[in-house]
Amino acid sequence: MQIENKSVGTVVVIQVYEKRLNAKIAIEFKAHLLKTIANGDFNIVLDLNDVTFIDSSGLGAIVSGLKELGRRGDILLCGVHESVGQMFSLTRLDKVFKLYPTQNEAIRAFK
Amino acid sequence: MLTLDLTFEPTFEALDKVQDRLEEFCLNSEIDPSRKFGIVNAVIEALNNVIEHTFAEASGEVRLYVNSLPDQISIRIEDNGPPVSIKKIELNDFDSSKLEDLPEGGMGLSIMRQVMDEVSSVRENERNVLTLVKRFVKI
Repeated sequence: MQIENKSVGTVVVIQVYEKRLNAKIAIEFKAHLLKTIANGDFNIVLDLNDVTFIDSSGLGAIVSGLKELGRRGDILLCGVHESVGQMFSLTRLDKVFKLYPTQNEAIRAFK
Repeated sequence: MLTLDLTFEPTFEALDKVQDRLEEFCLNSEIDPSRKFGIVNAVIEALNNVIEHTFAEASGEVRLYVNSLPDQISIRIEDNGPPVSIKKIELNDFDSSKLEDLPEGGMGLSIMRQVMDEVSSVRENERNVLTLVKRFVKI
């Protein structure tokens, strides 16, 4: 799995360099997200610009991260393709996660 | 009429290649691109369930058969694994304002039911058979 964390002030941007965030990589992705939180990074921007497909395993991994964070912080999403956005709508998780068009807008939302 | 007929091992590595073929198939068929995403998602959720649940402790093979007509697409997924009942979460059940209520898994069947017009499963000749149908013209 190709993934990279980048710190921008008090925000950490997790950039997923995968076309599909699916069951094949969901366990590894979840572990990465939980490790990021365990390291004390609670303001998270998840950049999905490269992701054109997500399944329920990928969604579940993101939900796991949000539950782990609790009230300590948030996960904001950016670069969400239409196909990925449809899955958030289908599962009603679009009511849970805030989606921003660009990384900069998501980072600014934490300030 | 266009058809796709694939038999493969129940692994996520194999599923990646199956998804490539399915997406190519949808591009070549007359499926409206706006519906394509949902149909591919429903099929992948179905195949994820087969790999994760039916073949969690067994080996075997899966057959995916897709038949695309101008007015509908039908998908048949067969496997020779043991019979299995799949856990289901109704997506309308959770309270989106309560973190502890949010679903981390078990959403597959509900997604299939929302996207497709028909979702049915039977045990037939020692095989699990799941059928998904999406109609494009209201009858």
